[in-house]
Amino acid sequence: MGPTIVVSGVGCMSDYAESADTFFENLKRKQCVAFEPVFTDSTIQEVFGFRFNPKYAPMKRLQKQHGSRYKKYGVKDPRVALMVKTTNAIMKDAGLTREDLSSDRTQVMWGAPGNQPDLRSFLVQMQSNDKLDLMLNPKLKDLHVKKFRNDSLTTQYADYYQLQRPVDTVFSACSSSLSALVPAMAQLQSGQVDRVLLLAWQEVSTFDILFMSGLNILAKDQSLPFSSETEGLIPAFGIAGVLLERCDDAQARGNKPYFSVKGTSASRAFGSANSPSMGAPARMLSQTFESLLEKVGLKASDIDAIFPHGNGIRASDQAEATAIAQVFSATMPAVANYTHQYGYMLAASGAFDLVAAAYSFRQQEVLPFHSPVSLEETKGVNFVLDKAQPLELKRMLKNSIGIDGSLVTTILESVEAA
Amino acid sequence: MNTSQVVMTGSSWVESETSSLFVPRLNNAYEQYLFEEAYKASGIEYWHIKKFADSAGLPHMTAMETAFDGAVSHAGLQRKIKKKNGNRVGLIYFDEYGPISFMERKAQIKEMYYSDVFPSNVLQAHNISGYSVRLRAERNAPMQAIQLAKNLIEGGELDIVFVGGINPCYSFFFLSEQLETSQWEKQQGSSINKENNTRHLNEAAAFIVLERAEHAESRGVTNATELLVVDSTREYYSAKHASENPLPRQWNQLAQRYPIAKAYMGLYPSDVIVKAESMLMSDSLTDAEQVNLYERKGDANSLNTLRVLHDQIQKPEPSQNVQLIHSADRNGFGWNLLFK
Repeated sequence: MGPTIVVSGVGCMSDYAESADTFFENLKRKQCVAFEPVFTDSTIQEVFGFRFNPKYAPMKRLQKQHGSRYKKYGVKDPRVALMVKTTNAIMKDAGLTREDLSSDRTQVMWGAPGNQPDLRSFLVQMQSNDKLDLMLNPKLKDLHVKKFRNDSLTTQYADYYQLQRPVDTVFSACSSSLSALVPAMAQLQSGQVDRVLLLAWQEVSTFDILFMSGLNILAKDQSLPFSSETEGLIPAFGIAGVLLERCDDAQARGNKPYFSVKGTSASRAFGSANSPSMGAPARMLSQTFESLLEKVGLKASDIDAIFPHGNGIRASDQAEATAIAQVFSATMPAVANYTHQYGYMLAASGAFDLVAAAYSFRQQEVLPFHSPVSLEETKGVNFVLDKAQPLELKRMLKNSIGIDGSLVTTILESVEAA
Repeated sequence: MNTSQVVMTGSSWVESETSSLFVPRLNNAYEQYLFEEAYKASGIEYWHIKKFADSAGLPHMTAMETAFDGAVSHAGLQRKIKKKNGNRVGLIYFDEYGPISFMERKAQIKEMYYSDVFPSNVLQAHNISGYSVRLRAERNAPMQAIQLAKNLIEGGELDIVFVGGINPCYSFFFLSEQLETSQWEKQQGSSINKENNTRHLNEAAAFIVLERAEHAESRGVTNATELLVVDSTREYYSAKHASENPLPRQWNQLAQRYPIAKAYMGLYPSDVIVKAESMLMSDSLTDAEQVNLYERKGDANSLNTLRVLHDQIQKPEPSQNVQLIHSADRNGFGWNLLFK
């Protein structure tokens, strides 16, 4: 058995909240983010063949507000500027310095798809263009490799902090946050590094919008996970992260860790050969939960709370609710999902739940989530809807599902119980 | 062999056999602009490219599936991964440019999905259901992926990890990449090498198979390449500041632990980097034979590292000597991989 690994610092940023503290306050008030239309020009909407104008929360204001703040230090990309701001908040929360981050004993992991160009800049002229196109649409030059290379972003970040190790960017669609957690835990437990900063993010790019529209999973009006009235998801650009380290190291520094990571499990559900898996069957999810419980030597009754993935895609939500009911119906742990309130954070969704979990462990309560309609999938699932559920929170299960079929689940444990 | 050592037990490499000369399209002003700018900056006029579609008729996804199946077979894993142990087998698929299926004329949702992640049906065909991710990285992607895979194997998360990727050659990418590299070289005080006006590029797909030595032995594997060390460092590739480079110290430390017989360098197509690497290697690794891959026939970008490993394990009698692959990048990070 390896050392106990804890989360000693958290941070997040999105249109919903600019900091972890505001995030907690907004959750307590059951606030919802204000989404905006993807297309400001109906002509472009028609060019791309959209029947309706989807909504999203792209952090445009924050990118504009903070985007130039670190320019003089070489951070030219506003997305990286927001990552730097979030990183600084996490490090401060953990009681660590910039020097600690630049140490060769620190690994930074991004759970993210990485850099992607804005297709709107060039898609129409990609196969054929003339000199007039280049003059009238200078953004056509976004077809340059630097707009595609991920190190256009990681180099700015690594140079700003003078990182001694390159950033690892791992992606498994919407389970990326927890997918980054798996190697982070392996590195910490083997002693290869002393701390891992896990930062998850996904900008809602034109590619993502086109892709999700093609799969018909974008909601027209609202996204209500676990509701019969749900019609899909509404994406949001968010950045969230946690600092992971050995419990002894954190406590020696006087840090009071939020929780420990008891164990993780990764598996894969398969769709048909011709289509994406679009989630996972309930049976597969039940097996994943049960195998993780067995792996860490716990019973279903040891779990006090669950943060499911809950993306708003009906088949996926139904399967997840069924699996929770099957495995945990005897003790009915508290179940909460805040996606409707802050938007679907895609690759970062798991990390946002880790930040929410920090609040739950610290305050020993699960905050209720906002749902304007009754939930369909309540049979056998104890959704926390009306008021905060105080409880002696020892262990929480967090599940995530990627559209590639990846299932990653983790069990979080209070430091006292670890 | 140390039984806890991570070893490579299989590999596969797929590329087209014939190359063709790249000519910028007349109806694409931006492509012509990049071609001209890259020529002005680098002196490179002839781009010979082995493209899948030009000869073998293999689209990228088919090439990737072929390479993956090849690695499964070479490692002796065909029909050996069962559903009950499939979750102990995983994949790290590295990817330089992210989802780029829209570069093809007929971008389909299925293709977009496949290029965004990894084709699930390929994993399903071999019952592979363990931890699988896409790693976004550049030239050093295989090194990062191998280190990640080693962590997962040594941490007990997985028994077997497939590591691989695909190198597509799109004009916008290789021309602008050359332009960037040449501009960077100019900043380092280097001038155009007029003797070299030709580049050979390879579209390729490749995978290797990693597992713990004792796991390989338990299933009867006899041909395995030990991966002794894989680690990164911050480097300086300015010819002017070669004395500040931490590499000599690092290589000396490695050479004290292992007798390095052969050292591969020149995986990044930059005169500045190759000259600095060659000079530093000549000074520090005096007992090692230096192999300059810069002068190779084809540049397969991030797959260059896997090509060296593939060549090693595919030999009828692989070398038992310790060999080093040094892979650099303009981004300031370099990697060393020791194998035998």
